[in-house]
Amino acid sequence: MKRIHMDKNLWLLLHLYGEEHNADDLDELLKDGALSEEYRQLGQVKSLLDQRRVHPDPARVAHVLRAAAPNGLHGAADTTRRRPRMRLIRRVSAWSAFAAAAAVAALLVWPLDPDDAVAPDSAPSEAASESTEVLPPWDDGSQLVDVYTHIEVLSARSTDDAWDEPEVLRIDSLPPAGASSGFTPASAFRQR
Amino acid sequence: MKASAYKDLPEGELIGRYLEGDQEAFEVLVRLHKERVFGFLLGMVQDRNLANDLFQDTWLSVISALRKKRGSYEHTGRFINWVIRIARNAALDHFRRRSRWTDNGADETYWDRLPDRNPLPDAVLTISEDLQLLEESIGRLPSAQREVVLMRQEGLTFREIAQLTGVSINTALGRMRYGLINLRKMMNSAHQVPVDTPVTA
Repeated sequence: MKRIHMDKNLWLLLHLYGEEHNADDLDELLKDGALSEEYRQLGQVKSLLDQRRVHPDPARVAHVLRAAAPNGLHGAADTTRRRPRMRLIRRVSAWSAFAAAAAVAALLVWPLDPDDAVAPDSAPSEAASESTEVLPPWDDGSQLVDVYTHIEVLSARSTDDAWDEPEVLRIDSLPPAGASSGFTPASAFRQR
Repeated sequence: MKASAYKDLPEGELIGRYLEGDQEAFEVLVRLHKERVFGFLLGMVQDRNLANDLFQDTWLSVISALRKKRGSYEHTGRFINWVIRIARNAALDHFRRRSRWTDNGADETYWDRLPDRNPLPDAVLTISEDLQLLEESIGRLPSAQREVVLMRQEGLTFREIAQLTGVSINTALGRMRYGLINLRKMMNSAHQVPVDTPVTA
């Protein structure tokens, strides 16, 4: 390798790693005190790096060798690989969300008044079978949203109107046919 | 064929034999290079389980590429260079995938985004304290310096590293030099003062 346009420090590295073999050239470089010190210090790090020995898991090597067999890439079942953590976390989260939604749904559908409970013994199994029937794929986000929406609708239907803000007029609040409007403008009171 | 007979065969010959159905030839290649490939990957990702995953992926890619004969391996080049190139791509793919999961906040620095610095959780590996410190220090090197140090340590020449990483040989040598200087600084300061800001190439 030609040393043209190469820094002496870089050239020294080629000597350190045995890619340059000219001993006279190295002697010449090491006459410089700073270069000599750098050569010594970097040599210490290199000798430590040279002691670094790491080995792969033998099971992984065995798996690779099985895969190298004819049709091995398709035939070798991968039992060594870790399950991806993020995917596991996502699945656990989806399960938790669904379980919470199912619990809320069960509370809303379940009659609160004991007299309304027709068959207490059979009710849980019915509820269970119902929830089994509507069980969405556990990691399907869109169906989870559908379940949540359904819960919201059920909740709205099973709750009495709030005392001060009826969202929908009750049927008995409407005037009977032929009668005047049930609403009286405020100005009418003033006229009276 | 006896295993000893394979040792004298050039790598190109071993690959040729494997493609003709001699599985043992491939086994020789794997046994020759497995530590180098794993050493490179472990140094890059600093996680033993992940390095094993990537090690496996790398060799499966090698097998697949050899079988389809679409691999970039040429008999003129060294087999290990090609395998390290595939391993490097696997490591880079991992970093890219991880960056999608990581919340890269504005306060996060390059150093925060480096892999876990915790000691390797491997009781079987009875490495000395210095070697463990070295391993941690490798993980704290800027990635460009880290990969050059690891590639050179696993036997690639500076010219081969320059070619593989797409830089000039001077750049590859410069990164190596700063990498070694930074390793020395980090190791010296580990038991004394806070780590110096590493030199960037």
